[in-house]
Amino acid sequence: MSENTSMQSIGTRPVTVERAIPVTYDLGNLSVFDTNMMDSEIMSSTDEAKKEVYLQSLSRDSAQLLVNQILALPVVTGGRTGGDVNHTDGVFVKLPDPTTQLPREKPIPVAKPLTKWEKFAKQKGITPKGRNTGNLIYDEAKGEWVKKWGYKGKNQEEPWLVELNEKAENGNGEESGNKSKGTKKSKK
Amino acid sequence: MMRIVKPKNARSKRAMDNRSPKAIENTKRALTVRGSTCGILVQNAMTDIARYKQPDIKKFQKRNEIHPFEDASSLEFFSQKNDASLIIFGSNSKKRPNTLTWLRTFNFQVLDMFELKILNYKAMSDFKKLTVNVGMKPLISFAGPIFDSHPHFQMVKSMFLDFFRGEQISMLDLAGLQYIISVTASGDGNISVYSGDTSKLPSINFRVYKIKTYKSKTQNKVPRVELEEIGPRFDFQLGRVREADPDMLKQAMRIPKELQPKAKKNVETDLIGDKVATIHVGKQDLMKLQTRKMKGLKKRRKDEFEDEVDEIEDVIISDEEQPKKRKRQIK
Repeated sequence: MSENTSMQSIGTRPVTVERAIPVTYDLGNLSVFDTNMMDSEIMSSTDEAKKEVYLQSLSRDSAQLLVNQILALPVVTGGRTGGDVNHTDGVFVKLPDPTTQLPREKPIPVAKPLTKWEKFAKQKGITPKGRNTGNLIYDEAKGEWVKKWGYKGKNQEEPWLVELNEKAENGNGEESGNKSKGTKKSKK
Repeated sequence: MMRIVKPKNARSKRAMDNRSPKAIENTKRALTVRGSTCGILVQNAMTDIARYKQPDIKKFQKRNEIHPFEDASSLEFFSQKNDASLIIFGSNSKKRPNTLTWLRTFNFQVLDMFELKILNYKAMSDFKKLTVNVGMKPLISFAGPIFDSHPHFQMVKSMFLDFFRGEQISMLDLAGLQYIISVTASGDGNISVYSGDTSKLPSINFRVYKIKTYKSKTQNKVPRVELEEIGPRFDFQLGRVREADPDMLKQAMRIPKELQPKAKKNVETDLIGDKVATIHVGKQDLMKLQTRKMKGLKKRRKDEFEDEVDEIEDVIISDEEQPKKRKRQIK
């Protein structure tokens, strides 16, 4: 197959690129900056095809350099953190922060002046009460999270110890009275 | 001019807060606006460029009588209404045929802009159809020393980076490296900025290639990169330029305190290259120092002591006394 032969020849081509002046990178922006002088003869020639071939080979070299740098970055396998549902598995590289500084689109936010209440609260030391932490609570005895209320909730546990009323006890030592104290009545 | 909208529900408040100034900003959005004389070539050119900015771009359909270099106020209004800080304005006139004006706003006011005349244009449809997924981050390459030396070309580089770089991400999926935008300009830029003769400036070549990787026999991990042009192909000629007002630029380049790198105190790197740190230990109370345990020095109850002494025979008593003394001296 012709494709195989071309693949073979591609496989033997080098993955390193030689440049007179080393290129600079901005990996956060996936960019490469090459300050080497371009071949002015080819660039100013009228031969379009020759120029395109030159530009493509130049771009290919820059792309190769950039890909080499990106692949040298630390690899993180597995799902992307941050709860991104679209990414489950995959090979990720951790990109550094961009180095080229580009202008912002909006000014830096100014801290809003405190409202009258906020000022008062700050002065008095009033903090907002803790928000509803949900239904789950940690049960030390069981060593797991159980519901505070609701179906099979902790507040519906039957007490493991029920005190007896001494007067109600018979002489025999038997208990009298309603033994269902503290137990939950089942729905009919 | 813009009336201040008061949010009526939580949803609109969230939308408003998203648009408000933030420490870490959203991806810059863009607009393509057609001038009154914008022809089909410029329209197609803008559509092709917009393809690589999707989904953060909005294309206007109607023609607008605007001259950016004279009065950019209507463009500023569009920018504010659509929350778009990048605008490409396409126009065509006898004096300036097939021109794209690229401009950036800061706080919805024009920061800087320049004209790029299209000398050559080959549309995406003229190339072999190779799809690149929408919203992918491109690799961007700038070649030519003029992009570092000439201030106008530096502006072009900055604008292209701003426009094409896309969303800011910290984790990159290697499958997402799909295409490269290559911007080149020959010459060394030793042309005076103020000469006014823009025709002497080198043309800017804008090419887009799809990246294909092949397994390399030379090195196992690093693949061989090959490119295939997917277009569009542009040769631009830089025209009029409006540089940024230095005060506005200074404000725009400010980094908020939250994002400034925190200097690590008490850690220095040696001349040799070793990392040396100073640990500040608090003052020690020497009276409460814990020294080695010496059983003989322990304070015992008096009766216990006397009992022990009685147990020991006479001969040894003298020996006993001696070592005790020695122990005390060591203290």
